[in-house]
Amino acid sequence: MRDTVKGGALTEATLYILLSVYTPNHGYGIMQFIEKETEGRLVLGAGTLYGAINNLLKKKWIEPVNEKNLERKKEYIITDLGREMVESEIERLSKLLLFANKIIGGKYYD
Amino acid sequence: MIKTFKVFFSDLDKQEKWLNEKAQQGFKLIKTSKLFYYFEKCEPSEYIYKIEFIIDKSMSEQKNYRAFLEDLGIHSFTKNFGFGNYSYGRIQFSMSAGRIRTSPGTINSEILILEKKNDGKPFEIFTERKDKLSHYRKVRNAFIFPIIALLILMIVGKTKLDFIDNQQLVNTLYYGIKGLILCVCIPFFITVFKACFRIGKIKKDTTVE
Repeated sequence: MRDTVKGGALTEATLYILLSVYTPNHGYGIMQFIEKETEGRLVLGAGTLYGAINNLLKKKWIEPVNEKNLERKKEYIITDLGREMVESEIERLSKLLLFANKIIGGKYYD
Repeated sequence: MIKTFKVFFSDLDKQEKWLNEKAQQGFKLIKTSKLFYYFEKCEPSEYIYKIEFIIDKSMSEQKNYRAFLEDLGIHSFTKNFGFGNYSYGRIQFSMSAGRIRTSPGTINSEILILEKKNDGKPFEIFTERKDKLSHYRKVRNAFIFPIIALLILMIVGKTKLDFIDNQQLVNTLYYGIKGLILCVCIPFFITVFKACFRIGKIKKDTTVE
């Protein structure tokens, strides 16, 4: 994921994955969440999703749940650091949206 | 259960294509071994297959990955690749994957065959550009190393045969071995070339992120 893009912007996939684990969720659930919320526009391959999840685990933006259970369905949940990242991304996008809206003459928001 | 003898030397694409052809005919993969594939009858086009090169994953990483895939409804089979478990191959592959391979369990599981129920949607494992690039680079690098090693072997090989008195025998042996090495290199070259071509194509494609 190009999360080290200047300004700390997150990729769309990363943001959606983080959003999908505000409640505990597993691989399949995350994939379904993204496909549903983007109406099929964003589809992640299994290998890509696996890499993305591991990346977020490494960065400690998400963490595993149910570790003791050792069941196959490994679940993940967002960490405090992850929440910070989501919130700063929302701020960044909001600023961008308002600015872009202003430039085009205020079509979308007042 | 149908047992089929089939060996794919270095071409991952051919293997994938072959498995999907079988699947279209209505054969589902049940088991794999070094030289054989075992199938069972199923509905035509019920399943689709994709092959992934997982030489860079340790045994525990492979287990994790396969469990993750199962949760997504993707069943997987491990398979050896090329020379698989021969010692020179082992050292070279592990160096090209950037790690010394110490876990013996990963020998003969360089490839992962992924199976999914055919839901009409394309079976893509990697949807992000950088993942596709790293996959093809892995394949390319895994073969460049043995090619170079074999070529070096070819150049230094002659001195090793000097203990044999019969000059004619030495010459025949020498050229015979040279020829054999070249034959082995050709499929490797093709695979490297194909991988480089794909890498170039992905890099040029600016529509993918």
